[in-house]
Amino acid sequence: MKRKRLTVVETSVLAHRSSDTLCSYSDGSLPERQRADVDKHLRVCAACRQTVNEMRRLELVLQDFPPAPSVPFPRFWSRLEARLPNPSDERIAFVRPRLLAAGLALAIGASLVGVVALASDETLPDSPLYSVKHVRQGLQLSLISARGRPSFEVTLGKQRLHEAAVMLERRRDDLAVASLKDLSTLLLDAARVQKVTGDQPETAHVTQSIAQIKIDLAVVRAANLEPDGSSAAEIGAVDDAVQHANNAVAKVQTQIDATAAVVESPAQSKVSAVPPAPEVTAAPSDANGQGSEPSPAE
Amino acid sequence: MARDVEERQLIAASLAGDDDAFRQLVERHYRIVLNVAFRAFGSEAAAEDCAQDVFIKVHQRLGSYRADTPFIHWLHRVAANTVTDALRRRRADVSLESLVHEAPSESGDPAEAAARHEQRKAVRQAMASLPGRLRDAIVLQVFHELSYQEIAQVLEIPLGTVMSRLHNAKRLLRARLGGYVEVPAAAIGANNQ
Repeated sequence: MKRKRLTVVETSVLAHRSSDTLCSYSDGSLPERQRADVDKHLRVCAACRQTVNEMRRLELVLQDFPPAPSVPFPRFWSRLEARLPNPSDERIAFVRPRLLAAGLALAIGASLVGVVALASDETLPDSPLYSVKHVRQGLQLSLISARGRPSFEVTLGKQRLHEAAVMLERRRDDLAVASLKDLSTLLLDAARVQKVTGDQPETAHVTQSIAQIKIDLAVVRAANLEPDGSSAAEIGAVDDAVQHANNAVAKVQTQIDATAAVVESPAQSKVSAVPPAPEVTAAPSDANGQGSEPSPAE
Repeated sequence: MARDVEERQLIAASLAGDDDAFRQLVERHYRIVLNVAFRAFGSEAAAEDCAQDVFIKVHQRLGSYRADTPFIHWLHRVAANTVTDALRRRRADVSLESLVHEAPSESGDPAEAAARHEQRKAVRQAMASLPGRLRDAIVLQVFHELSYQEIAQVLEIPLGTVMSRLHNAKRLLRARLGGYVEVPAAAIGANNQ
């Protein structure tokens, strides 16, 4: 009996280990107990020793890849930004593709004028006519001038926020999130257009609307947190959308403040609509000895 | 955790067209992607191009990212796909440029630098020649420096499958790299005495 047990132990030590075991042994991922077992085997098996040494050599070769030299982020970003799709080349993000398709189909299928007239600004996201309203407003937005666009987008934003509040009441968190995302998209686009045009928007209207949006967002956020049977995921999704909308509000506000500051002090603006009058000096300003006093036409 | 929440917000903002949010997202991760690309190509210029390709794909496909998995896992997957595609395309392309940009050897010996360059080139080519699934796993381990567990999470496969793929990949690599990994029998005897 004693003799038989010894034979089993000897067989276990002598038996070649599988390729997988030796691979795990070589890369250090084999558990400690099995590792000790392989150690014993390697002392008596030249073939497995050869395999392990080659595997270890391979591990060293595979680890011989240094990290990249440092690249400053501004350089990396400036080159990447130049390759990213230009937002102005893209379709108006405000028009959601599914709504566009549904809206067009509905408008064509039914009497166009009648349906569009029915899809008023008060139409809500859970209405079959909402897609028509969405498309109509998207078309209006694409036709409006850059100067009037931020103001119109803020107005539409207020509508989206109202829609979100009603959808929350109706336990349609998915539609509330979609409307809040639209709100963010509209506000971010308003900030972008404002930055590009540098025109002062209809300040009183926009400022008032932005203030109202801030208050309404706080109300929507509080309503979302009230227990109404929504799941944690639904509450989280609405909360994220509100947070994002708040960030978008801040961006519009920053852009409007920046524009107002430039308008108040045009001399500091890089591009001023009215160039400052040149100083009148007695000395000639050019080779012909002409004075520098501007002509009325200048 | 706070970082995850912040990252989710950056992703949501990027999806809504906020360029600044996307810039912040890139700034958080560009070094990881650059390192992966540099290990894969050995050239600073090629690595930067490839890393930018990765972020362009991220920008285009951000909508397909599922928020129930960590963003970094998704990013590793996009980066691994981009790198392996580029490696496949460049298999036959032996870049002279990479010799110029390859990090100098620690000893500063030109002969050693050349030998290392040749070895890395051979490893890259051998990795590029592997079957798709094995290549993905080994790229994540070697170029991305991920653990078995992390590879399992990135590829969304069981840990045992990762181990099996890596072992098979290394078995093939040993065979294809021949002289770079062979150890003379005499040396083994000496090492193990």
